[in-house]
Amino acid sequence: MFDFAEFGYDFATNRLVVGGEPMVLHCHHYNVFLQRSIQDAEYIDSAPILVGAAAEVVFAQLTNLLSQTPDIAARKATVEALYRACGLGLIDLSALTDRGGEVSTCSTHYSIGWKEKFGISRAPVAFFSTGFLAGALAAIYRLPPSDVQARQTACCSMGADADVFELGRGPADFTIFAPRRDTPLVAVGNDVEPATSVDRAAVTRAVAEMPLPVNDEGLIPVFGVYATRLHADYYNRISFAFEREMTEAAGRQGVEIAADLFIEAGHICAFNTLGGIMCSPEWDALMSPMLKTREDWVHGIVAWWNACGYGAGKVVDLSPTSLTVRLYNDYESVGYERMYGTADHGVGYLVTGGFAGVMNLIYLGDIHTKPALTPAFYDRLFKGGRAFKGRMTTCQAMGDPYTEIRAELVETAPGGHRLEGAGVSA
Amino acid sequence: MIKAAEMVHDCLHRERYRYTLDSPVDDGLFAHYADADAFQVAVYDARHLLPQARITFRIEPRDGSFLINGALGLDYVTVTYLRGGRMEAARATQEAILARLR
Repeated sequence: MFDFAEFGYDFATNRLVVGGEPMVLHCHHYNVFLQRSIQDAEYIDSAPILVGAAAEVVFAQLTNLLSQTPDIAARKATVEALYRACGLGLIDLSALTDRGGEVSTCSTHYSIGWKEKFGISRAPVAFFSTGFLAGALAAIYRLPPSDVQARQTACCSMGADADVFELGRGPADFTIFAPRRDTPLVAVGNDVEPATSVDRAAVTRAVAEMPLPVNDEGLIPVFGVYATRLHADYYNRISFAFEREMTEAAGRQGVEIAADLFIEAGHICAFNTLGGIMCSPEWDALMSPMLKTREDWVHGIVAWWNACGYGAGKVVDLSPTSLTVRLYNDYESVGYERMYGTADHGVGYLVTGGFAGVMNLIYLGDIHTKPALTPAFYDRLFKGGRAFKGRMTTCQAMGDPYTEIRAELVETAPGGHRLEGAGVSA
Repeated sequence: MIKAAEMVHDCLHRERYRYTLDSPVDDGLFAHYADADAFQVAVYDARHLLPQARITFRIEPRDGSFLINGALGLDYVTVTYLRGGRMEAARATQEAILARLR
């Protein structure tokens, strides 16, 4: 068994670090939308990035976690249990040797999630699992990842009965990234938050301690989505490596295109995961007695957000038309600095889209009435002329003491195009 | 008694219903799922942190054919059914149980 609860959630920074890797909660909507956004740029060879990013974090984590486990069978058992605890599905590594082997499974988060969201795929989509297995092979047998190969040869998202992964030895067929650096976290400020009847700290603690039920397929169906607890630096690496490739291809415009895509992914995350949470019996059970106003709903969902491993978020200003959230050690900033040093532009994309999404749901979407979270409702709420727009006013990755997001209600003329931007620039 | 059954959008292509009941759910519901070989009942009690919170529960059969989410004291539960040959039977059984609750 592998239990994330044994690692202890750090309530000072709102992070969960396991084997040296910060872990964050997301859902299949966000996971496959982010991946597809990256894949859709066909002039960028994204597959090696997607596989390499997973291999990087999994190898680092398992090297740490397995350091006291010499027995190969026990090492494999830990890897299988970690995979399942992450909500990635099921894997059986019993046939794996130090030369590689074949891994077949009928349950893979990315394959199932892709099919649920986008329908049948034309090519395999489980890049995270492919990279996970590459990193796992290297870690189990103490091999350099640069001497491991991995590819997916069949995929349930394409209509196959099983996902099949082939692992072998040889020069890596995925990206090997430059090592990440250790960077210190910033001190969390004592910001004064607006008064609310929501006991924010207690909610964060209660939610962080709530068990995430993993089903017999190794999936985590909660709040109407398939949830995962994955490595923050996987998301960071695929996003920032993509952004850098886009910058090489299109200059500064590449950053803006990537920003639009990643902020949209933040909207998707807010709508489906946070929306699903606010419509759930679990939300009603924990929160109902404290929710008197829409502002309370905002404080409540930010308290839940703080239980997801994203860093410490604080509401510093809130009205029916605007929200300012200050984030200390948001995972995007921390990851960027570990990978690439100080940024010359804001990189808090998830949080920019996420908090605009929160305001859309609460003030425009009347989430308290438990509306159906359909694609049509999403389009009405996020693509219409009247919506909250998020922007970064500061970013920790640029050397600021925190990342700050301002979401404001904006209106456009009928037919007008509403754009969300990164806000902070060099 | 079931006061209302509302179909809820489910993005995982299952069928999900929110059943509003005549009275708040109490732990009598668990008696219908007491066979540990057939059902898994998980509860979460956060009242040590949030004194006014309600105890949440999840009830799932071992075959995964449905999932009940709710909280003691709420007047509704959601039940999610896996689509397939047994779905109608599973739904009829759960609705019969909910209908008998007082």
